[in-house]
Amino acid sequence: MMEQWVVVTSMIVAYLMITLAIGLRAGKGLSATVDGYVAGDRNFGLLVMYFVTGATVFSAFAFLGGPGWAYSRGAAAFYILSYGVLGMAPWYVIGPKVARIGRRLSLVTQAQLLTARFPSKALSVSIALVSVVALIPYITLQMKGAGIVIEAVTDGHVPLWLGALVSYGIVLMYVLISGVAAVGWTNTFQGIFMIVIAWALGLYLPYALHGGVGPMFSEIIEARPEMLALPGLTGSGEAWSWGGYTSAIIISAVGLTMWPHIFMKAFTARDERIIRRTVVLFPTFQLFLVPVFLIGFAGVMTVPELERADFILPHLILSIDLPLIVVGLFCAGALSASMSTGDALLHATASVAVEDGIRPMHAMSEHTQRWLIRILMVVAGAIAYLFAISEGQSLVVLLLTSYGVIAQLAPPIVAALFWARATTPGVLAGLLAGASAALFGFFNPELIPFGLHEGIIGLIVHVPVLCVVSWLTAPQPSEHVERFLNPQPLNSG
Amino acid sequence: MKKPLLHRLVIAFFVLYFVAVTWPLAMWVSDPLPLVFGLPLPLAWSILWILLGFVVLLILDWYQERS
Repeated sequence: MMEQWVVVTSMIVAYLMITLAIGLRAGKGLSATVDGYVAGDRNFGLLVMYFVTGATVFSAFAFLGGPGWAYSRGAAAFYILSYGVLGMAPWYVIGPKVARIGRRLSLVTQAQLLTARFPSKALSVSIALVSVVALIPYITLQMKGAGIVIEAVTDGHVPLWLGALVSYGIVLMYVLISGVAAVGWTNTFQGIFMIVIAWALGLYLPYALHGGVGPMFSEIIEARPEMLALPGLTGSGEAWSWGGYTSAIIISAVGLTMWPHIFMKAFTARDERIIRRTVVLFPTFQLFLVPVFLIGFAGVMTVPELERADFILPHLILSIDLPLIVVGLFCAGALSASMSTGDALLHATASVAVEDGIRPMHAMSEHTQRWLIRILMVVAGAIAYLFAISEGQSLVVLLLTSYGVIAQLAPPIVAALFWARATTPGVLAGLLAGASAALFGFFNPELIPFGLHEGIIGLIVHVPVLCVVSWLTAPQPSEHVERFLNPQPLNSG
Repeated sequence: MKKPLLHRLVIAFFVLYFVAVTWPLAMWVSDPLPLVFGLPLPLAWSILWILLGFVVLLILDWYQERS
């Protein structure tokens, strides 16, 4: 009889082939332009936008890191549940505005929007640098997630390095060929998959291991009440600080839509109504985290001490006697979560590096731009892969660190769209001061009071510097500012 | 309802949402008991605010489309 790991590996291969086929097919009919490759000819409908947004936000960190945190840090994991809607709600106003300006000025990236309002090559390159620095750990996290799952379900026969290599080789193939259209359609497929799997496992595992969700929590409260009390625990098992919990919510909410791979999707929507509807429907996707946490809590009383908390979900799957098809489907669900974010990240990293980092310095044809984006996608993937096979940090810790950097893009974006008095020197000075403060805080955590996130320190420095330097420098011409504060639809001249 | 008033109410709701899930207000729901539909209170509290956020966004969009 065939060994279990061989059957599961065959199912993983089948899943990867279906994803590849969808990704390759998605690029058919797109224009051979940068607009087509980076913004999907601005033609994504509601279904694709909903899944692109949801599946991109909820990644390996949600599918593996979420249960890992619930298992090892208890109520601390609820911060992940609290920031999503708070972070997405402002997009109801910002997203359509960005899309309208993008259409009028033919923009495809965040930095292009900012440098259209605040003309500066230094600003464009700085944003490219900040974005790439934050995106690489995020890609690392996705690759590591894919590798963890495959290694666990194949009983170590396919090691982390090989699992990550094969799954991300497939991702690279379809994104290289079809661009953002592949991201859109594969995310739709993967989004449906991960929601179904998460709810099925999230309800089944507490039932199978504890007799239900209520009995499971009653058992935990009796044995380890500190686990379920806010603000939860730290990685080493002590009580987490309220400052740490609250600032994790703030920094994640501020940073959520500032991630280039999410922000840039505003340029892909067919119309503004679709962006607004996507925001309205986002909370339905956010609830996907509930079963994910239930899975982690299901392991608290049944798995005494797991060395790597991020492995709790595959560990539980393998420790109870599930049919092989369920193990294979779980694996595909987890890979969906990882790959649906990883593809968008790879695409965004290379697009930002070329459009915002290189093109402002060297003029180049559309053809060259598209090829350069492809080459840099491979380079970014290779760098992240090297980190993935050597990095030892928890998935959520990696993500939280990146959020501190990316949140520094929020003040310039808000200033560009809503503050007439903001100036180019003000935005540049703010970004430099904020990013430096965040980095300083990251390397000197003992100097930060109340356990605050270093990104908050960055914002506390960033906003006053942006305001003061803007007030001290000459204002921009009002007709220039008006194009960003009150953008008109394309057909209104 | 006039649009600016609705916008102000929506902003006020999300400020309240933020206050409700962070320190110091979240300290009032920090204890896991009582269980609500089998879920510990802090988890049920977070879910409640997601659902409320969904309803508020639906109302906002409905008004937006009507106008």
